[in-house]
This record gives sequence, structure tokens and C-alpha cells, in this order.
Amino acid sequence: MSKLKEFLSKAVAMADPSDLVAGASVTIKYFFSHPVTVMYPFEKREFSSCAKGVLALIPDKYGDDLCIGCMQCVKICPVDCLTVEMRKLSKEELLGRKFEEKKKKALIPTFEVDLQRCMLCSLCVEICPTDALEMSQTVTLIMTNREDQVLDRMRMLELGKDTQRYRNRLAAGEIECEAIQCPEPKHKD
Amino acid sequence: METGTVGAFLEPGEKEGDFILNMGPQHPATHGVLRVILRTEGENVVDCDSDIGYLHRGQEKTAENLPYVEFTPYTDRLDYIAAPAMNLTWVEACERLLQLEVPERAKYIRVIIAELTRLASHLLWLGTHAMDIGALTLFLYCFREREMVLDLFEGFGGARLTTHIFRVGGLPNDLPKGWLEDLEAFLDLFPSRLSDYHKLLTKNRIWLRRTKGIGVVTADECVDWGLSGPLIRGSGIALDLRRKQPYEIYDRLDFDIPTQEEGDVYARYLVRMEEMNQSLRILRQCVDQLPSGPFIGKVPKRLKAPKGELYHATESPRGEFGFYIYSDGGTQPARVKIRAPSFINLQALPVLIRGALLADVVAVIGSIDIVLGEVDR
Amino acid sequence: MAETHDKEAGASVEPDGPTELPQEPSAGSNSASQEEVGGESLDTNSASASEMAGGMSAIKGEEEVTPEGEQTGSAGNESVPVEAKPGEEASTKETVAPEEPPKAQAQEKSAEEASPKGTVAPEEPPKALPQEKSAEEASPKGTIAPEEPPKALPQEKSAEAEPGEEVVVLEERKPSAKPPVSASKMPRKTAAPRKRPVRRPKKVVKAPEKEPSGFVRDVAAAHSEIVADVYNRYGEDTIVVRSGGYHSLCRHLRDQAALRFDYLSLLTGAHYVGTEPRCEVVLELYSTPYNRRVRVKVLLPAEAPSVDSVADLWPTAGWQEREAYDMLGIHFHGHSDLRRILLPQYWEGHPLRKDYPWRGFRERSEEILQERLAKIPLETETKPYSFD
Ligand code: SF4
Ligand code: SF4
Repeated sequence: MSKLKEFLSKAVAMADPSDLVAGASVTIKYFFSHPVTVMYPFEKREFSSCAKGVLALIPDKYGDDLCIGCMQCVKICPVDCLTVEMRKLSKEELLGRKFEEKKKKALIPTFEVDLQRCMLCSLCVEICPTDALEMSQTVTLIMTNREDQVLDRMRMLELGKDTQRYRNRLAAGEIECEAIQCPEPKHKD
Repeated sequence: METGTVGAFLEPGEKEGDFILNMGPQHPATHGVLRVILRTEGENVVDCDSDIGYLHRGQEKTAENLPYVEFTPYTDRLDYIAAPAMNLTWVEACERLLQLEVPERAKYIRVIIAELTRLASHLLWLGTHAMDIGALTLFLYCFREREMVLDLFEGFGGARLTTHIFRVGGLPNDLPKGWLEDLEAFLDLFPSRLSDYHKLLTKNRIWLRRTKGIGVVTADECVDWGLSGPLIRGSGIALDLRRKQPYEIYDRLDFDIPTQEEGDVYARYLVRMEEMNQSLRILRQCVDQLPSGPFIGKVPKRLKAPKGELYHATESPRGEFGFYIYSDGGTQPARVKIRAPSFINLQALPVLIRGALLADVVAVIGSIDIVLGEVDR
Repeated sequence: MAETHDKEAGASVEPDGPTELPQEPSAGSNSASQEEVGGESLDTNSASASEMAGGMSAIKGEEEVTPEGEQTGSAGNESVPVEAKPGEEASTKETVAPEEPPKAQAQEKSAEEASPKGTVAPEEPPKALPQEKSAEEASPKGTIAPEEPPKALPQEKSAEAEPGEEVVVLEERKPSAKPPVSASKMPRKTAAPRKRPVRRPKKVVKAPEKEPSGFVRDVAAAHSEIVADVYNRYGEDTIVVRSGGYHSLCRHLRDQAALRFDYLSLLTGAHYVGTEPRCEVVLELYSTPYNRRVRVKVLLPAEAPSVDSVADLWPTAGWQEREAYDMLGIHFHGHSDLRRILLPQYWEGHPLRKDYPWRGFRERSEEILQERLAKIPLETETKPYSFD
């Protein structure tokens, strides 16, 4: 008798479609909603303004970098991917310099970052005493060979110009960036 | 001493029909590069052994050769699904070792990020676990919500996966403008999504049959095998370091430790689902109580730890994650040992799948929720 | 230990290859280059040099108390990791010569390593010179000769250097440096300790120590013949046990009704420089009924460390002991399955021992690998399946 009861209850449970209906209702609900995906190559999502991209050198108003060659970034980098060379200016050079108002007493002939090693941890950016380094918004740097992965000073300054422009626009309120891109799908399909 | 040889993991059995089956390391259901060698009798798994180390990067040796601050980004690479949780353990251990004070606001924000990490990690677990068992739809839904959490990480720390989101002494920056509103929007949205997952799985007959009574581990076995996280809580022991040995501000927060008695895959599923709910509770309390103030404390430039050793553990999404640090008085630790919950939970795999069917192995491995970056270190 | 050291010294190509006991070669090359550089740039920016000397001695003051032997040990220990960093071959010979007598260089290495961070004011580039990794060097007129860390491309660099500048390339220096060094080192060891300038002792941060908890003291009193030491640092109780009584103490900790340390959080080994004995096994125990932790330590000798396995008490120790064996070469008696776990079975050496160099141990070319693989009998050979 008990066996029969058990069987009957099992049969009722099997016949009860409530679990399947509940599941199907969810999928059907989302079937009629907008997609949340972004069609990548044609559409690109905005990064948050804090997003950490490739390392950039922020230029000053003369287009020179702000680095004073203190080497703190080189020292703190966990993977040793920065190469900085510093040349102190001699007295004569300091006097005959083009831009007298500049405080910098050193030239930076080399500033390189090896993108193959850099893990974008931003420790170097935080330790820099003159805010010469910054994480840019650029993440897609396509290169065809390894040597190009080592960004030299000029390319880092170029990236820095973009970053500066971006920061200025952000400060002026021309663009706004939100942390969450898609709590609810915003775009139309 | 005689050590094992290549490939000598399991001997084939005596009986006819016994079989050695190799699973992985390229098997998608092993969630990485785990190789499991199974001895089967027909469909039943009799014994198993795991071959790990494919992802070994010598993290402990690296830690011994880097100053305390510089190892923080490396901890992201341990459990890359829940990177902020690894960061948190490391910076807390360093702060205890170097006796640094952390401001209140930083503590609250750390807890917010840690709980978001738990959400993100459990969402990824839920999606992949359900997909392993056959529910493909949920995978996409879970990733949609996980994406929002990652967006929050990106808004705060700048990166999505390997975040490097905490610093020794506090945080790298304060919360950006509008971040809390975004978080609240997410908190409002997420409970409905969570109920959707419940609707899809919790009562689903296929799900129940695939998970109930599979991979049972008793409470005593859990303690013996040192299991932690949802595994031990799914067997009826409320061992959660957030409650048992509170760190940060968890002692001030009101939340429950969900437990289940059965100790099977389904129980672990329920525990993790309820944990997501509790995380939401914690997040709401943190957002309400968030004090103002500085976000980083006073950190000396040259960190030199006194001679001594400590073990600091936190409750990561996968269980008790800890660092044992021995300092000989220098700027670098002399020995760092990483207590990885996945490593120790994975060890109990033979206990969990002994006697199970071959098809259940995938369900059991999924329910342990391993991350190979942490197993192999 | 000694033999491994010899082997490495022979095998390693870099001058500062051996990670262990580096004070002889590395301090040698260091002091030599210091002399040489000092000879060359006697009229260097004296401000920066004295600045650096001041920084060094300030830090030295903190270590003054310890006896000489220990000090060299710790200095060596501390400098190990830095030695192994890339760009370090460059840095050892690039450090700017401070105007210091060549005494006690080994001891000061650690101080020197640490000093730039402490003393350098970043706004003033001249002071920033003595950075270790910074490939730079002061030359008489304040120009700096760039010297490359090894990762950069040397040819391009030398081409880039402008012709008009004074460029001092230090590449050839390192090998010739050794003989004078050892000569200069000899008198230092034998001579009576020189008088050092009296300085205020620097505040040394200590690990917070407390009285051990009651239950730990009870255990120590009950097992005084096997418990070597009991202390509480950072609020964590530690029992140091002699290797003979290790297993019985663990059993006691697990089974005693008043202790019940039934949960093994962590088992690991360690290998140190500068402590005696040099190996240890550490257990982190947790008691689920009482919610408390205790740490058990066994000190072991560095040569062939071995200890009883506790895998019979806590099954979870199985893999962790395998890992300790794999990484540190500690043998666990009574372990049923002591294989390597993370590294492949054919691996040689135990990487977490301090005498295992951080990099450049051996060129692991394909041939060597194949050679080793050929030696190992493959037990599970793939045979073509026959359908008969
Ligand atoms: S820390 Fe800043 S100023 Fe110093 S070397 Fe690096 S980029 Fe230049
Ligand atoms: S971001 Fe990190 S890894 Fe990259 S250069 Fe800076 S410190 Fe080095």
C-alpha cells in the first residue's frame, strides 16, 4: 500500500509541470527583452574613467615629460618592465636652456615600458612624485612584432597627450563615464 | 626515497571490465588544467587520483623575492576568478605583520568589494556548474550579472579581472563619484535575477536528479580532510571565518551563515545561492553605514617587518584562504606559504566521487568550485 | 649545503648567481667596483655621497647590537632576493662609491640596499643617484652614463648616447674586481673592531609578544621533555616541539577533550638562511569546538630533513606533505604516497629551499629534458589496441 502511495506521489510529482513552467517563464521573459551584448567591432563600449590602460607619459606644456629621473617607478615595478635613463644637466646646460622657467634639472633620454611584461598594476603611477606617469585609456595596441611592444618615450608621450585630452574633457563635463555600463540594456537593437 | 614515476598514478584493477580513464587536462568541465585519473568498474568510479601542477608558477618563491607591496599584484593571479579576495588576504596579512592602521572607510569599502567578489565568483560558479550539468541558459544569465559586478570593479579599481584593487594600508583611491549609486542600482536589480536562477534550477527535476545524493561528504570527513567554504557548510558545520574569526568589520555586520545538512552537490548549491543573498544583505549594510574619512592610512615608504611569523586567513568565496608569512626582519618575507582552499578541497575528490557514476564526476568537480590558478599556485 | 653551494657557484654563469651566502662574491664585486668607481670619481658630487653615507650609517645604527657573525648572515640573507633581480649585475657595479672606508661592507650591503628609498628626496635628482636598479652612475662632471639593465637592447643604447658627452661604460669591470676585494676583506675580519661613530639607537619595531594562552602553557608543562619553546607573537600561540615527540604531541592536541584541534588548516615546511637549524615544519591547527588556533613547529636540520607524517591523524596532511616534500625536500616517515605533486616527477632539486637559485639554474633545453625522460621507465605505455 505504502509502495503504491509512493509511486502515486512520484507520478504526481512527475506529472506536475510547475518547475518546468517556472523555468520556461524566465526564458520566455528574456526572449522578449533587448540584448545586453555589444556587437564588438562595430560598437565599442566606453571604459570607466578609472580604467587602467597602457602606461603613458603626461606631457607638460612644452611637450616634454615631467619625469625627473628619480627611478622610484623602476624600483617599485614588480616585473621590472620600465627602463629609464636620466642625464643630469650640467651648469652650463642649465643656464643655456631653452625654457628657463622649467624646474627640471635632468633630461630623460630613454623611457621605455615593455608591454609584454607590464601587468598594469599602476604601482609606478602611484609612487611617481611628479605625476609624470598615468594609465591611459588605450588598451588595444596592435603590433605585429615583439620589438614594437616596447613603447619608447615618444609613443608614451603621444598616449599621454590623448590621456590629457580625455581628462580635460572629463573635467569639463563633455563626456561622462559610468561605472556600470548595462544595468538595464540602454541601446536599441 | 623512491618517488613515483611518470604516469604511475593508478594501477588498473584486477577484475575484468576495470578501466583507467583519463579526464583532462583539456577537458572543459575540469575548469582549467586539471587531470583526473579515474579507475572505473563499468560505470562506477572506484578510485581517482588528480594530477595537478600544470599551472604552477612558483608564486611562493616569487613572494620570497619581492618586497611586501610588490607582491600584491601577483596575488591577483592566484584565484583569478576572485582576485580581490586574494588581495584582501595579502594586504591584511601585511598590515598585521607591519602593524599598520587602516582607516574605517577603507575597511568598509574593502568589505563591499570582497562581497562583490563573492557574488562574481559564485555567479561564475553557478553558470559553469549548471552548464556542466546541462543547463546552458543559466550560463548566459549569470555572465550578464557578473559583467555588472566587473563593471563596478572597473569603475573603482580600473581593471576587471586581475584587479589589484587594495593596497597595503588602505585603498588606491576613493570611490569615484556615482559609484555608490551604481552599486545601489545593482543591489536593487540583483534579487530579482537571483529569483530567476532559483526558478530555473532549484525545483527543476533534472537538476534535482543530477545533484541530490551525489558527492556526499559527512561533517566528520569534512573536518578530517580540512574542507572549507561551502563544502563544509553544506555538511552542517557553520565554519565561516567572517563569523568565527572576524576580520575587517564583519563583527559589526548582521548576516547569517547558511548551512545544509545533506552534504551533497545540491546542498552546496543551496548554500552558495543563500550566500549570495547574505552578501546582498552585507552590501546594503555597508552602503548604509559607510563612514567618511581618509581611504589610506599612514604607510612608511620602506616597509620593514619585524622578525616573526603569522598566519592570516580570510573567507574567500572558495573557503579558508590564508597566508603564512615568516619575516626575518627584512624588507621581504623569508617564507610565504599560501593556503589555497581549492588545493585542499580538491584533495578530497576521491572521498567525494567514490562510488559515483562517471557522469557525476563532472557535477562533483563543479561543486567543489576549484580554480586551478590557486590549486597550482 | 656546502656541496650544493659549490655546485651552483660552478654552474652559474652570472657572478652573483648563487643565492645562498652571497656575501663573498657579491660583496666582493660590490666593494671592488666601489673602490674603482671611487678612484675614478673622487671629486664626485660630494653632497650626494655624504648624503648616502649618512643614510647608510643611520640604518647601520639599528643593527649595531648584533654580533658580527649573525650580522653577516642576516645581511646575506637580506640581499639574496635583490641579488637575483634582473639588472642587478649592472647595479652591483654601478652603486656610487660612498666616501666610506672599506670596512664592514658585507654588513652594510643590506643597509645600502635599503637606503635609497629612505634617504632620497625625489624632488632633487642629484640625491637620487644611488638607486640600485637605476642604470646610472655619477661621473665627475655630473653627467650620467646610462648603463643598461640586461633586458634592454645594448646596441641601440650605445648608438643613442650622444658623442659629446662623457660616457662611462662599466661593462668590463666585474671580473677584474675580485682579487683586490678579498685582500681588502682579509684585514677587516682579523683586525680589532674599529670604533664606530656613536649614534642614537634607531627605534626597532618588534613583533608584539604576549604571554602564551593557558592551554598552551598546560601542554608545555605536561610535555616539557618534548616541547622546546612556547611563545605568542601577533596573538598567535606557537609550540616548538622536538622532532622526536612531534607525532605524539599532535595526537595529544587532536584527541585531548580539552584541546580538540581537529582541523588542520595548513601544513608546510620552510628553509631559512641564518637560523639554526635551518628547516622547519609548520602546522596551523584549528579547533572547531573551541574556535581557536595553535601553531606547531618542528625544527629540522638542513641535510636530509625528515619527520613523522601526520597524515594518519589528519588526512588533509597528505597532499600538503607531498607539497612540502616536493618544494623543500622534507621526508615524512609513514606517508603512504610521497610523490612530487606540483612539479613533474623528473624534476631535480627542491625549489623553495634557499640554496635553489631564483633563476638561471640550468638551461633546460629540450635535449636535457629528453635525456631525463629517457631514464625514467614509462609504466603506462600506449599500446595499439588489438581487436582479437
Ligand atoms: S617615478 Fe616619476 S619622476 Fe621618478 S623616474 Fe619614474 S616617472 Fe620619472
Ligand atoms: S604598471 Fe606595474 S608592471 Fe607596469 S610598469 Fe608600472 S609598476 Fe611595472
